[in-house]
Amino acid sequence: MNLPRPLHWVLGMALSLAVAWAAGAVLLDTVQPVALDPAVGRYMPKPGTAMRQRSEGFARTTAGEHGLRSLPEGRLPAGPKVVFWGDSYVEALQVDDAEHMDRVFTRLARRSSLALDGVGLGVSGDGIIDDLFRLRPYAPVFAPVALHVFVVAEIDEFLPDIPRPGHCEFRSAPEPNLVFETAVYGEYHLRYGHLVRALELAGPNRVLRKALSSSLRFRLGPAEAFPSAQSASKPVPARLARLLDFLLSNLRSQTPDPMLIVFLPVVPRLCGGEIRNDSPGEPAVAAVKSACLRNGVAFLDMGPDFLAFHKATGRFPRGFFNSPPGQGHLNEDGHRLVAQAVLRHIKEHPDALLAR
Amino acid sequence: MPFWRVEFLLLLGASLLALRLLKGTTARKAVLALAGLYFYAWWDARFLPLLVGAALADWACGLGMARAANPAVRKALFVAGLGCRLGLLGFFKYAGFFLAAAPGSTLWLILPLGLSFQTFSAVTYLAAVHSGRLAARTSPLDVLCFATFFPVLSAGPIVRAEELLPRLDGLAAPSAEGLYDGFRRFSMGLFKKLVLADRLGLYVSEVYGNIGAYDAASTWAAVAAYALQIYLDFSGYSDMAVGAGRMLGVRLPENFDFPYAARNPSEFWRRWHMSLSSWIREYLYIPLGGSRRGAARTQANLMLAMLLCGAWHGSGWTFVLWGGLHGLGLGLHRIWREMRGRRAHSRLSGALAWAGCALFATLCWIPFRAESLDHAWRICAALFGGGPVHWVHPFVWGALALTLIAHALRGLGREDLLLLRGGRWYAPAALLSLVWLSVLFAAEGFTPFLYARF
Repeated sequence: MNLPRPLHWVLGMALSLAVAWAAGAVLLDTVQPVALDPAVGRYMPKPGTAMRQRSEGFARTTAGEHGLRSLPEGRLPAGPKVVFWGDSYVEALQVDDAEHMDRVFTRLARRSSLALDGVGLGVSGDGIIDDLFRLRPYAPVFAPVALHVFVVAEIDEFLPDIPRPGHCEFRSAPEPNLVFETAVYGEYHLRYGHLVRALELAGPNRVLRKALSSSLRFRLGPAEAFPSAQSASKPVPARLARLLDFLLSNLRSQTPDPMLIVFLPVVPRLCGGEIRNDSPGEPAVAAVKSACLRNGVAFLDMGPDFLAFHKATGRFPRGFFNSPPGQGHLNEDGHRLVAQAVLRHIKEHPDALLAR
Repeated sequence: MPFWRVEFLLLLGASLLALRLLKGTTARKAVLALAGLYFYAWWDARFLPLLVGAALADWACGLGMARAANPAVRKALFVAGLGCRLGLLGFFKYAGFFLAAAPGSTLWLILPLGLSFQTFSAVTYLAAVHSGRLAARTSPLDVLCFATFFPVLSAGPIVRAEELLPRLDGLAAPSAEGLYDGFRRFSMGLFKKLVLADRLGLYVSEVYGNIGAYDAASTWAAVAAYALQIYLDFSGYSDMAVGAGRMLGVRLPENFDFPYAARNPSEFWRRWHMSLSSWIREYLYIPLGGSRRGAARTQANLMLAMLLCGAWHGSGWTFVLWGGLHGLGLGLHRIWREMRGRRAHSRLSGALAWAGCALFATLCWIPFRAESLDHAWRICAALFGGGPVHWVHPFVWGALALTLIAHALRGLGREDLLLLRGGRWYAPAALLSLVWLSVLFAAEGFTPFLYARF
């Protein structure tokens, strides 16, 4: 057998690294460098950096002022705003900036002759408690605000005693209380994140992360089986109502601006070969909705809009060409439906909002 | 211990180092036996006595057969050895199936890793000694090394004792050629398994799990994707096993030869899971009479062999149906061949035969993958109707195109180019790229080899 020469191996290693680099640069999600935003005292995506998403959808988003995405030309508008708060559903790396719910809202508002600009503050992993703590620091950044829209994908965000490392928490004992916590970035990410992004080193970065997170097992099997995490103890309904009142009154007290909670149920969804229109956790949704109404926070369930859209078009508000229909993050249709629903809400409640 | 885990690579590296440092075949066999026992115990040490005990039983039966002067005693020992092996297989694999219907049954058994493959290999040892084709081994280490050779321990290829034992006898220090050739095969298998097969599996699971909701086009895509998945998964595993064996200095039999290039069911089985199909031919079909006892008996033998092949894959009627469909295909092809005679295909008839055979093999995988006969029926119905949802992952088209190109190159006789055989200057770049791409694009989560459960 003819064996490749040593020089071929050296050349091969160089070429293979080039192939891996190119493949990573084209086909992997980019690393997002972060920087401390002194105005709000938290780490946010570094302004001016673009993020490319490939694992779900196929999009490019750019961080603008204060690390906010989808700002027109990267600048915060000066006029009255509708601020969309949320997690990765608002961050929306999966769809291009122009299709984000806040940008779509702005376009729709302009068509309706409303001088309102949508702004999105989405940070992956954040929940309603994080938003609650962020309202005051961000008040000078966003002022004037016509409406705060909290986009909630999981109703569990309102429930107490669910551990959320790196995020603010809602605890029910000894007395209901809210605990502030903020995500801590590793030294590596802070120091080298911008280099990884600038040099398109998504591939080597993934290899490094896999190497660091992998664990070796040399002991004999069978491997230990860990019981699945126990779900959080669910309070009895009467106590749940009191706890939700505590949370929502606290949220309400952060700002006098109008508030709207937009809930995104996973409907319609595929389950066992059927297209299901029911959403899991409906009793909790009803409890949250009641508590919102009691505490002066409007509540909008997107379920009927999603179902009507699916019935009319056969399409789903979630899922992309490279991910299962009805699952995962909102696609362009989903973002447009949310923007339309928020605009509709504003038009239906002119006294509460537009008179301000 | 999955082949792509770092622990396996360390075990392989340590074994290679030990084989390099140690002199003498006995010491090298002991190293391989120890490595095999650790490989197996890493999965579940509780079954180690079963593995060792069964190997020692093979050794004792073989030795007894060699020393017995009375043919009846030889036969009794042969039957006892077979009974021991097949009894274990039957108990672990089928007890649950037969007792499942019993009310209140709580029997739940773990199928020991690779038990089917070990059983088939062990049968070749007992049969070879019984027929006199192979001298019984006096040293239990020989038989233990054969029974625990770790590259083939979990899912084959099924190695015959007449092939493997002489190779283990001549075990030398690892050579540069062996290491390179082994690395070539291993890296190809790694890419097939981690990048292609596992990613196809994600799509297949979604569509098969929601059959009835997806439309006909999506269902056809999922059926085709599963045909690719099982091929890439098992041939990827086989590449890694053959590659690991080659590095250790042992040439293992090939398991696949571009099966979807076959133009009839008979050719398909000469290209698909070749070590199993040749085992079935030699140890089942021919002892049943093969094709020597008339057309009707031949048809019955073909069907029986394939039904047993199906049942071997799993204790469920879906596997029996899969075997039955292949038995039917082989039988019909035999009738067609006898009517038509052995004539060469024209270009058009060859293409039609290829397309027909690929479609047949692809559709046969439906019951194989389905959870029940009802599920298989619903998949078939969805191929001609289905629900309103359409989704075909673009990766399926990519994998399909890649497989077609590979098979086309094989058809053009350019497989050396494809398999990077020979001292091509770009081979290291291509192979190392496959390794890097496997690390980068491996599907998240643990997906065991599909055939490890058989």
